[in-house]
Amino acid sequence: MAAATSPRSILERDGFVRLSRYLSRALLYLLLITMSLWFLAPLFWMFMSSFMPLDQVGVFPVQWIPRVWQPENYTDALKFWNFGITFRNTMFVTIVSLIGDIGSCTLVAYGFARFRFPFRDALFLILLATLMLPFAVRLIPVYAAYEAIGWIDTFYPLIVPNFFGNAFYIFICRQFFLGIPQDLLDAAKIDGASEVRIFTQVMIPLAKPAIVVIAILSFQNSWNDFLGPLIYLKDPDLHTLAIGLYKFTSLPGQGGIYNQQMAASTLMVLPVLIVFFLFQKQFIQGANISGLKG
Amino acid sequence: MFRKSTLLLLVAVMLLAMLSLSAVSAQNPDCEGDVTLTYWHHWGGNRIPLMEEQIADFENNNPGICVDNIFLPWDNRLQNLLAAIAAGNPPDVTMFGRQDLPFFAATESIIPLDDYMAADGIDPAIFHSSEFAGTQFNGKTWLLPLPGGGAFAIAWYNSDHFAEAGIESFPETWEEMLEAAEALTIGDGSFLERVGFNANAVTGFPFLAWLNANGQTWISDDLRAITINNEAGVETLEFMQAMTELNYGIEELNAFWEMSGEFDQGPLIQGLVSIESNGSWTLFQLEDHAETLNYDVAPIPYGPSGRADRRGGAHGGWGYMIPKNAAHPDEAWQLVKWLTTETEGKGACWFIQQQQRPSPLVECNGYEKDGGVHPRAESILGVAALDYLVPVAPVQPEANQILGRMVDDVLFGDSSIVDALASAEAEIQALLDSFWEEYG
Amino acid sequence: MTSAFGAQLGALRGRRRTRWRDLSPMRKREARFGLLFIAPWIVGVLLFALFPFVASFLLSFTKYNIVEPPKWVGLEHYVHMVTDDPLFLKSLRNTAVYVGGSVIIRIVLGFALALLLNTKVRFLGLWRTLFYLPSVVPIVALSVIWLYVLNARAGLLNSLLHAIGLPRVRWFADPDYAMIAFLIMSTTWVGVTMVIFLAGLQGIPEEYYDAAKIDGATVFQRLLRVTIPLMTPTIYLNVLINIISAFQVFTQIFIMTGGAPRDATRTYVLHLFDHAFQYLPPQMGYSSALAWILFIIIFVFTAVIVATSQRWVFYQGGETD
Repeated sequence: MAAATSPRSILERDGFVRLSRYLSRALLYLLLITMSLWFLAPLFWMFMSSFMPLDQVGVFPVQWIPRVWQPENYTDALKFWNFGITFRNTMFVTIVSLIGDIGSCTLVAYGFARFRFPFRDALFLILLATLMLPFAVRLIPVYAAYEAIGWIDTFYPLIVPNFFGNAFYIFICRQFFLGIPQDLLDAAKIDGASEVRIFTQVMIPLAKPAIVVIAILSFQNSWNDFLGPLIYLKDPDLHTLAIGLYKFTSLPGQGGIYNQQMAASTLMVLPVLIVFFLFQKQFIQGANISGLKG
Repeated sequence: MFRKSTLLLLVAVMLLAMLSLSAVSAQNPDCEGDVTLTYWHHWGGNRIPLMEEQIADFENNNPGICVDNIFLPWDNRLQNLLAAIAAGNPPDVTMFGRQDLPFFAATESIIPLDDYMAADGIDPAIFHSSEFAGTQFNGKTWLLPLPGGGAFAIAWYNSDHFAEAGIESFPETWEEMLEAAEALTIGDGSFLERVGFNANAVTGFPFLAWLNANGQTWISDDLRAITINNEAGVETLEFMQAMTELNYGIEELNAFWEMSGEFDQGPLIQGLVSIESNGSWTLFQLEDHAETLNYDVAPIPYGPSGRADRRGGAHGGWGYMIPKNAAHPDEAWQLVKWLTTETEGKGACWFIQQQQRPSPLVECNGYEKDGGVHPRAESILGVAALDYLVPVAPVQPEANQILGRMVDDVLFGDSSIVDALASAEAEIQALLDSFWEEYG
Repeated sequence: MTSAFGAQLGALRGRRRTRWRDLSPMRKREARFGLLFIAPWIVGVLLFALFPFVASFLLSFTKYNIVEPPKWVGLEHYVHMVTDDPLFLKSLRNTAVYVGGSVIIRIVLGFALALLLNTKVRFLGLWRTLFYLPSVVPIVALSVIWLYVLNARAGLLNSLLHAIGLPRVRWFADPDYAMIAFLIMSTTWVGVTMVIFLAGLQGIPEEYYDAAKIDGATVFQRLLRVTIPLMTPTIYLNVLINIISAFQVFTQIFIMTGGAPRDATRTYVLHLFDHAFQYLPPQMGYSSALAWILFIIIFVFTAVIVATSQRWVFYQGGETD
């Protein structure tokens, strides 16, 4: 990596800009490529090994190209794991939750953003405070309550709470509503539109960017949820993909059919990657809103 | 991006999802009846079709009763069951581990079966007495046994590996076992290529299995006192320690085991180990590989304090029971009878014989599958005869964790054998005391 | 979130409390609509936050096995925790290691990557997508994949070590390395913080740098004097979010090791989960007590960070009061 000219003299003469042109650009791209490899190698290996024979998976150092392509790893994996049912269940939970999240969060956010009522700010502070409550504190009473009303082994515990607003999504959405100019609302009011009409026909269309972000966060949340399905769903006909994959694999010391495990993982990961590539911008936006704004 | 077509697509997908959801049911569509029993079991893998056949035959023989046949995975089964019982919608019949009985019986979360048995003239003597003993708690019968609780710790070994290493016959004692394992293990001293035998990978609870093979039970017959801190306990841990050391220590052995596979791809089948200790069900899996795998069966070796005729503890095993609040207890009893006592048709005998395992029923131990007797089935029956009954602690799941930690303390060299035994014994005894204080 | 938090507090202080009967009919109508709109959340917060919050506090003083009603035992669980449960302290220690390690990894590495990408690099969108990609993979699948990455005999990471001439490590078989293995795995989510920091960096006006350049500041000085101070609000917020979530780490550990080897990866929430959902009889009361201690720990951490933030968080143009 030695440069032809002394880096020091370049620094002194021209500062960082010149040096970067000659050398640090190369270094920069090398670094970026290395990091990409670090991030992507596990996923790439997942895909490749899902076609390998079992004994090739155990070879050290690791091999990247299947010696023989063995698509039957997928069919073998599916023998013990009803992908169809788990996929359908996951779709169902995800979509209904998504509808619940979007419906309730836009409604509540609009209430917080556009109306004045007593204790509004105090209530909003409570909303923010609930973000700090660890899930572990909620786990047991909520579990006991669901069990008391016979909701164990149903989708309700995974779906119903989403219809009562998620603090974080409400927060995102409210910020967005606050940014919509008041003039638009006033114009609608002058036209004699009711509050409900203003909400559904003016605000909601305007809030599409925020709604897409919420939809993506909600989708990720339901699709990836593990603990919820783990404790609430026992009938295999109700299992979601996350649980199906977990049951199929197992703890170290017992597992080891890595090629089939990777085939199963590939099946679970693919739909998420497709959605990610379709909505890349919104995914990144979602991450940004989560960590940047305030 | 959020076009109408997208929305329509979403709605269509959701409708599809809902539609397909409503179609999901494990019920036999041909069955017509007034009563539908919910039935949970854990017979996975290649036993799923067997169970379906068995249930279909039950439905044919019991008109009016249909069965919703649900295969549940093994982990979290007790939590699932408890939650369902507490919520008042339990299954009508469920498969149940015998070691988990005390808590459920003490809280009366399940129904005693003695009245049903008396009414239908089911004589306990139709079961092997050691099998039936595991169904008792506080003087009542809470479940009927199937499959058997014995033949859990059988040694399955690769005959070719034995021939290569020049070992003539399967070791009888722990000392011989250590010698054989040392000869069978292959590696360079720090990286294992093949493991002769892993004493920590034993079905159930490794320490207790070896303690049993050393002639000891660990808990008093009234289930109130435990003893492991004695000569036999020390010998047991010494054996496990020595076996681990000759496999280059616990870390390398565990690392090796991460790659070893399971089910019908287990380490014995892959040639990664020479001897494996596993239950009678292994026959079913190994037979699929009989063409490439030259294997045989033997009883596990016994320890210095043990006896040649007492090798394995019959402490595990399963049964079928009826939870409290079951919707149809009378019909449920018919199913329990079919699953555990029926010698005709595709009942209890048939189901176990298809798998060529020992049956808890005295009458069904011919080991015939479709008419033929498997050559190794006789050996398994011989091994099962060396089992003796071992009581199970009411706090078994947590006790197993403590015992597991105790073994690790020793194998990782963090504690002396005597200290480890003493503290585990005290800890489990305290658990036991608080259990009896609460439920006694 | 935090500056909004401050703004909310300010608003609370500043405004006189509005009373219902003082409102004009117009305002009453508005207030009614407002309450109607937020009604779902009010129900939600009562059912899914307030109720469990109170109930778990009460349950923490009882023995509760689900099948029978809870039995009052007073402070027994809290005493048991410190006197008689060695795994309580061990899991707390393990969790502290994970929180410290993973927060540093995510913040420092995420910041470094964001700086790299903020140098007018070509294909910015592509790099950002590639780095972000692993963090959208479902955690169950990630766990399965990383079990192999960290496999002691043939894993990807050991292959890498082998390629650069280092000895292999028995990750999950070695108590000294098992937690480090999880920290290495936590680099998977660095893309998230990177994306956030990158957006923050791109929001820094060019003039600041120009001014610093005229003053003759080197790259390093510009980083220390301009970039990092301007980024402190974002860093602060992400430290907070990451600490809160790292304290609750569960899924990958439950799936990959279950606390093994030697409880070296037994984290706090895993310990709590085992008591409630793995042991028999279930110890829901003890588990609730553990949950409350966790809540207090997280609360104290948050409070300390918020309280000290004024010393090191620099708000541009006095965004908050």
